[in-house]
Amino acid sequence: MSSKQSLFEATRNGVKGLFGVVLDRATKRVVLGVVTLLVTFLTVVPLLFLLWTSVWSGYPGEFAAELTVENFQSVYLGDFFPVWKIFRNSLSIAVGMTVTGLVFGLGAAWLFVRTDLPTKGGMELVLLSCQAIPGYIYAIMYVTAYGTDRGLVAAVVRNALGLETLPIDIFSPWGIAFIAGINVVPTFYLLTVPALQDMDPALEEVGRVHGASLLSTVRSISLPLIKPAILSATIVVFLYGMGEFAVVSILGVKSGFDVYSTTIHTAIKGRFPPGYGEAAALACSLLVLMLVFVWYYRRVTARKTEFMTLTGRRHRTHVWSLGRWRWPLAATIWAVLLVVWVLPIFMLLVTSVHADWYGQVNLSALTLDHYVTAVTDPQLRTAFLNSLIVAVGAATLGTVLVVGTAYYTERTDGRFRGVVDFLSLTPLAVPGIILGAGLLFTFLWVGEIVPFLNLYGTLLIIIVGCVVVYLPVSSRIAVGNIVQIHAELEEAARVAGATWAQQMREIFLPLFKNTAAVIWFFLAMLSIQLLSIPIMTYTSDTVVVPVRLFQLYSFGPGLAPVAAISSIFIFLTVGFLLILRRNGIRFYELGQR
Amino acid sequence: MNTEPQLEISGLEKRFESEFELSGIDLTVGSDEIVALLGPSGCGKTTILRCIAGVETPEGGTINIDGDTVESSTVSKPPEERHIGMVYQSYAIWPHKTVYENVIFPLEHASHGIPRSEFRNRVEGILELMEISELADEPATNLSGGQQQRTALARALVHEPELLLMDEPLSNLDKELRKQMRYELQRIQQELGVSMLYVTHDQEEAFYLADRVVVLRDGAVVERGPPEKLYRSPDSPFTRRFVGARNPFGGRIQTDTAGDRIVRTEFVDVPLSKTEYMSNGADGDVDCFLRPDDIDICGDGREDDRIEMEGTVVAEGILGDRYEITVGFDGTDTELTVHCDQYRDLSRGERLTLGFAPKTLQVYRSQ
Repeated sequence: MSSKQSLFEATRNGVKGLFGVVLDRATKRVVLGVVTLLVTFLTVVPLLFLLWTSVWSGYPGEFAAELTVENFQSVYLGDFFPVWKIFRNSLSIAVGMTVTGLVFGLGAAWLFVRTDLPTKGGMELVLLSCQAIPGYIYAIMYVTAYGTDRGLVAAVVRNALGLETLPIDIFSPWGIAFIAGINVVPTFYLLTVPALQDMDPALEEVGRVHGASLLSTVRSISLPLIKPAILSATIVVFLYGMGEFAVVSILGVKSGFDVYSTTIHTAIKGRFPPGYGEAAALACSLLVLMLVFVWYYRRVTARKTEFMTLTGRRHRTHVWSLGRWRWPLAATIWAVLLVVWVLPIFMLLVTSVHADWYGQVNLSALTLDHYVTAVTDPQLRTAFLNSLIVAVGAATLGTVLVVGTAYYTERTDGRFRGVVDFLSLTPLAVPGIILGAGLLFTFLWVGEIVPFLNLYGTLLIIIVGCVVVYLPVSSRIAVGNIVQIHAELEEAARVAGATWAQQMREIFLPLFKNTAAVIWFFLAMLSIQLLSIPIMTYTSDTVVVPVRLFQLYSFGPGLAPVAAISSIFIFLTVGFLLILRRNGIRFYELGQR
Repeated sequence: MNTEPQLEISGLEKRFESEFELSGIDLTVGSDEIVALLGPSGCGKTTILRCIAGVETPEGGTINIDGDTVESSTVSKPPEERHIGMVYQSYAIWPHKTVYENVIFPLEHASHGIPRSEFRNRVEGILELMEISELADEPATNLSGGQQQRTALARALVHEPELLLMDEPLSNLDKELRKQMRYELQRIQQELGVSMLYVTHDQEEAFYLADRVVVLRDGAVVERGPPEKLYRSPDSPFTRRFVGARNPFGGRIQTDTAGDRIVRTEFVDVPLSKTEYMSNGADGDVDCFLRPDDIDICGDGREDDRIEMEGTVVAEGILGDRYEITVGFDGTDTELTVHCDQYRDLSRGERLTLGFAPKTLQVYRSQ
């Protein structure tokens, strides 16, 4: 022993140290163990109960029944659902969405990052602001602007051209696919921009220097370099498309256009008696298909660093000159932005200040009545309060969970790292409606088995659903940012004598604070907008704003009140984002449902 | 002062996906001693350091620090129980803390005999020793490379560890700063009397700083010894090649017609008995090394038994404070680099006679 420490001190330290180590290892194990278990339960259990329901002859929670294949028989061999038609419809929506997203998103990404297009900053702002608008409000916006019967723009164009009907119909399958696709353009944009920005311009320049033309440089160097990003964005958007619910249910209800999600929703919430088993059996085929895609997606994005790089080293990006096409191109893009994004929002606002909306502006009858109702109506007030609780709850639970799993997979050599990492991605393959159904079944059963864990009819079930739905995206943000914090900073603290818990408190958490805040706000914003989970799991006490909007649109007296509530919702979200932006948190981050 | 080794490692093993990253490393660092681990990148030297620090767990072997077993088949103490100091190649300065907060961290968390009331004095003292007192309240993100280096060193030493681990601490500094820090490290080691294990790939650094050097290759110790010995006459051709600017070329030991054993190379034959032969053995392939400074350009011949050979100038130029010529030999791939103290006006393609004393030729059995 060194002369600096007396024997007594050494002994004391030794004893203290021994307890410290045992305790510290326990802390680490308990903290990470709980997080890991929770992720496993949340991602796997709803699917298990979904499977069980699909092969159970009774209702979820009904013990007096038996295993059966009848549900599968009546779905896939009988005519309980028009399965083939549903599949075709889903596929056309997914393809339409993907193509729209690819053309607009990638086009915008390339033009904004790699060319000298004038006013591209403003264009990007418009494009990304629309990320804050959820799909069902998008659909409502389009009804007020371009709807065949109630759309003002459509009516004006029709009269101007002297036509009976317009050749473009937003209620047609391709119309629905296009609008749903416009809604994912920001997602596609954000997923491909980093790849374009991170590309070392020297790689392209060296191609030019060695004799390749601009076109062949793009073809043989630029495209192969960003291909992984494009491919992964395409798959993500396609997966969203196969599970799309909000836009289809609002626009497709008129013509009876059904996809997987709307069929499952109707079978469970809109049919008496509910077709639980059949809905579950139908969900199974979609899940299998999605799993194949997720498996492929993981292969494509095996190199994590290529995927959703949020921050990274930015090269001085080389910008191609558009020459004399600069201004004509800019004007065209602004026109598209106006038609596709700005006008619909404007029409929504116009609609909201009319007492009734039939596709005509009536300047003499403008009113703020609907806004007053929206604020004073007790049902709506409850809905807003519920939404707020869901947002705060989901954001808090989600952030804790996501930071924990990211730490576990990136910073420890735990045995289940691979499994946890995979599980955190699987919800990508589970559309919100199916997850909602799974949660519903789960808690119908759990309520029977362990009554004190009965979450059915509480906001907690919605909170849990939101956390799971956004687990893939939020955990990628967390992982991407943990990787940025050098592990040596934490090791150095351990070597300098700190225990794991002390190290977490002093080094890791302070350094990760900003990312955690971003994840929190990100989850809060998305959770408040989510329709699919609450629409499957709400009861009369747990109506949230998206559900209320959906009900009002489907069964309510008119479009104007819906427009007013939507407007308030948009104002709130945009205001929220602006406040965050002013405080230096910029995220038009990634992903939506 | 005790005589017991500060660090003792035996049979250290680490596998990386079934391949050995470290195989059976034995190592000791005595008290007040500086030991350098020298080897090319990827030879496992950093892994050894990380195993000692406890941030990586070896598959086998034991590690004793200050007579205390911290790693064995039954024990694996966490890093905070090992009472060491460590300097990372990246410095690992916490960006959200000031210099002062960085440095006081080990005092607040490690166990040591220093009372809390002494903390401020200790930190100020060590910052003074590192000559960065004025930076105490600076946020760590404002520091230059050299200042980060000094902060990292202060942090590693402030709690008076008996053993300091350094992982390529100078490799991120520019040349001038590196020279200066190399000197400072020795000064500080002298003043604090700490044992140091120093990892580097730079032989100059290792030989300048260390009392003993351990040469590593592919996760195993090739050779160990004092710098003078390793520099002058290492036992293995790998060390020879790695530790110094030498002209390497292949050859064969044969018996010539007169019955004498000679080293035959592509361009010159040398009697074996006159060379510096590092191993005893029969005829066969050998690796030969010749220092650029030991080759002279004909005309300044100094010794009677010098070997001469004729070649062609391939490249020439001034390098630092010397004149360097590269000479090729007809019909061979071998090129020799020659250093002269004086500038010569040679041009490429010029024929030239070189000479060297046979005892400056180092000959190793090929491995």
